[in-house]
Amino acid sequence: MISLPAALASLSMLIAIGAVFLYAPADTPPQMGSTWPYVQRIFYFHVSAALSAGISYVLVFVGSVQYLRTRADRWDRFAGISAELGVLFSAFVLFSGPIWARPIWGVFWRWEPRLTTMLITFTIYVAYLMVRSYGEPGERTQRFAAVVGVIAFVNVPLVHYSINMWAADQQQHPVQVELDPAMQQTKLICYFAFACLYFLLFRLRLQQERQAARLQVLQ
Amino acid sequence: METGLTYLAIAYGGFFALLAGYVFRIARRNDELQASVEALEVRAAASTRDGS
Repeated sequence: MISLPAALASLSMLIAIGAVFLYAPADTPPQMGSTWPYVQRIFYFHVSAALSAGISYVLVFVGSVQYLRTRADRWDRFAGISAELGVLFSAFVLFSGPIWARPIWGVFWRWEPRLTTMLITFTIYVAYLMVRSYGEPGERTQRFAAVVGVIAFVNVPLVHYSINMWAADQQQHPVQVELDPAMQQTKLICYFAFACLYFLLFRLRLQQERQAARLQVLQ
Repeated sequence: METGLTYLAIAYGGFFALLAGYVFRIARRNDELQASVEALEVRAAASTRDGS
């Protein structure tokens, strides 16, 4: 039988897709060209995924600090799962951003502050997952991963504040975006759908990791 | 096909492909865990038989 979180995530994702494709307006500013009505719809999932990735990295930091304080395995699992989800959502951000940029900026990639800091953050958390995967199972690897999880977090505020920290002439991302009310509502629906999806995936992975830990004890 | 529509399809297709890949990975790990549980049960049953 389908669980409540799975049903909620599926339903909210269907509603989000309906809102993105059927409800959100597609007004075209004159300077944007004929592709704008289509590609602007990429942003609803792009921004929601970026927010989910940012929250994941905060959770990795919290889990890592708590692990270093308490040495409890549950915090190590918490940090590991958060990092996995962060990398998953960041991968989509780094994929959908260039897909949007190609018709709008004329190129897939520009080494502007936000894109560059996001790519660096993604790479650091991939390295974090590699530390966890390739290290000897045990306390030493968990401790090392937690230290990496704390240090990696330094880059996360940089991604968020990169728009203000670097000179305006180096920026491609807008500092402030005024959204139509229907666009704003669509964005919020997408945030909710991503929150449900995040909760579902986190819960599934947590159950799995708990089961794996119990099995390890029994073996 | 409109170019903008192609980009839109690639972006959303990519999202669901990524998500499907992750869910597939979870399902595969579930299968591995299930196999380990079954192996443990077989071992436990065998040791019970030997003990009796």
